[in-house]
Amino acid sequence: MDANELLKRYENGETKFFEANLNGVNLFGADLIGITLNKADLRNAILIFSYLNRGILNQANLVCTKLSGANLNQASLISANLHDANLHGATLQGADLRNANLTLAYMLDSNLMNADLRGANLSGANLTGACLRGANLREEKRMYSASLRGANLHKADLRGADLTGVDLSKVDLSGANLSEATLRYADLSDANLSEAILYNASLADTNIGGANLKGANLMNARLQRSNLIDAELTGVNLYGAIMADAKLTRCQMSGVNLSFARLNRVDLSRANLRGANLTEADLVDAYLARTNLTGANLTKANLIRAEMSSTNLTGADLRGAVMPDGTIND
Amino acid sequence: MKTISSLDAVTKNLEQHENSKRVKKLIYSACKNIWENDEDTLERFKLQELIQELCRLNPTINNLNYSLSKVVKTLNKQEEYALIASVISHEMQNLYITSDESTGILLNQPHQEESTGILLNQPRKEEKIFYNSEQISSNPLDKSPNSQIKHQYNQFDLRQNIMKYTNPLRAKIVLFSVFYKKFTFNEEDWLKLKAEKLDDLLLKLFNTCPTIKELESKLNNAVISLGKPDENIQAASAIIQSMRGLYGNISSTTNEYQPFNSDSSLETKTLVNPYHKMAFNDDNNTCQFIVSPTKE
Repeated sequence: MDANELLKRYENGETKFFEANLNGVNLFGADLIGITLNKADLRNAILIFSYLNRGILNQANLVCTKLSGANLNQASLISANLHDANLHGATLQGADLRNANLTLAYMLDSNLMNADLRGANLSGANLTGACLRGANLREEKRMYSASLRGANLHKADLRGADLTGVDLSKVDLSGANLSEATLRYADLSDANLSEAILYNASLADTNIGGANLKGANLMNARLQRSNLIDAELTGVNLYGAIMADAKLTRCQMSGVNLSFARLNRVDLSRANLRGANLTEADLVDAYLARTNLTGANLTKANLIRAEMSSTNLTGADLRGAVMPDGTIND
Repeated sequence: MKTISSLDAVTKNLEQHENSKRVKKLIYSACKNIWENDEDTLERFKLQELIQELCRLNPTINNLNYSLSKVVKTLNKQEEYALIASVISHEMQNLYITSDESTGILLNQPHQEESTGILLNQPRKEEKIFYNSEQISSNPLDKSPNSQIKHQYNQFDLRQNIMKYTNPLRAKIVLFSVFYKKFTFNEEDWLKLKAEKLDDLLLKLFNTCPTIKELESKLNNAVISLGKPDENIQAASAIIQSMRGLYGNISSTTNEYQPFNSDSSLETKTLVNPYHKMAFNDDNNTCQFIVSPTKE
């Protein structure tokens, strides 16, 4: 079928084109709102600026399809193959992309707000500047497991996105906004989170080992039981963060702001907290073996039962702090 | 407080000068270090922006005089241009403030509000681009760009709003056409567009437009150059709506109503309805921004 035939039939009221062969057709700017193209072959087709809002393209073959600026709002693309598709500036708000193959898809500045991406494979996709606010990528056992391996999410907007259990290891999330996002059980090991905004994010039981969080904002983030071993946290804002039972072994944390943070039972062994602000931090039962607290501000911190026998406290300010034995410094 | 509108006044005086073309040529040359006779090229630069640039490049009135005289010395008509230089210098001295007045400038800045969640949400870099200057400098113009106060810039909110109400690629094409040439859909332009981020284009627009009026005018001109108006107008309109809140409301309150194209000059011709009639933050919106363009 060629483009003209499709447009003519669509104009005459026909909307269902199951398994249509539209390989390489040019439908630039075509208005095909609500069209059904299940299992259609649209490889290499030009659908730039087309209107496919509420279209049904389940299992469609969209490999290498040009979809820049296409409108796919509320479209259904379940298990569609969008490998290497060009979705530059496309709008997919509220689209259903469950189990879609988006490997190597080019999605710069695309709109994926509230899209359902459970089980989608976004490995190697370029999502720079994309808006994924409220998107759902949540892992569900034996059902969905989204992957973002090697994806580029630089400056992406992921506020409130559900990324539970998602594999984000080594992903570039620099400058991304993950405020209020759920990242529980996610794998962020070795990810680039420099300058990322994680305000109020949920990172409990997350693996953030070896990640770069330089200049990130983690104010009020929840990091219980998280693994942050060997992470780079220099100058990070962790004001009021909840970090009970977190593992921070060997973390680079000089100049970090941990005031009012809850650090009960935290493992900070060999971590570098030079010049850190720990005002009124809760460090009950913390493990501080060889922790470097040189010049740190620990005023009014609670260090009850903390293990500090080998902690370096040179020049630390401990005024009003509750020491491991319960004594209070003047 | 006299500086608040002095840039406007200086621009106006120089624009109305009988030798305004030579004034612009000289200012342009002092900014760009190249003599330009081509009218079209000069047309593309706004006098006000050039004045601002010149002021930035020359932190004191002495620097300014020196820069101007340096250009004059390279010209054939030195005597004529020496007079022009003194006119420029005379007008522009109002932009250089003596130290006893400088506290007034600081008062013009909106105070950065104390820890609201929103502010803390911002990556640090944003705080530096709070005003339309690329760099914080001691130059008064950087801190107090003429008649409007710019508000907090949150790139994520802005981008989200624009994406919600228009096609992101369309918005990029309009913005691309503001800064480069009109987008022509050829291979080369696509590649150039891919190299740009929506965020960066928006920030650039914000940084180059000290007032919402200028922003509107820039977008309108881009839309006119692009032709095929409907979708481009829609995109431009969404950008204007989304960015209006970043500016103080000085200009929007002074223009309660302005019919389309009532202004005959192309510069300020309003193709896009600049007056908001809807609430932007309504998630369930179904509203239309566009008052249809002049389709007779």
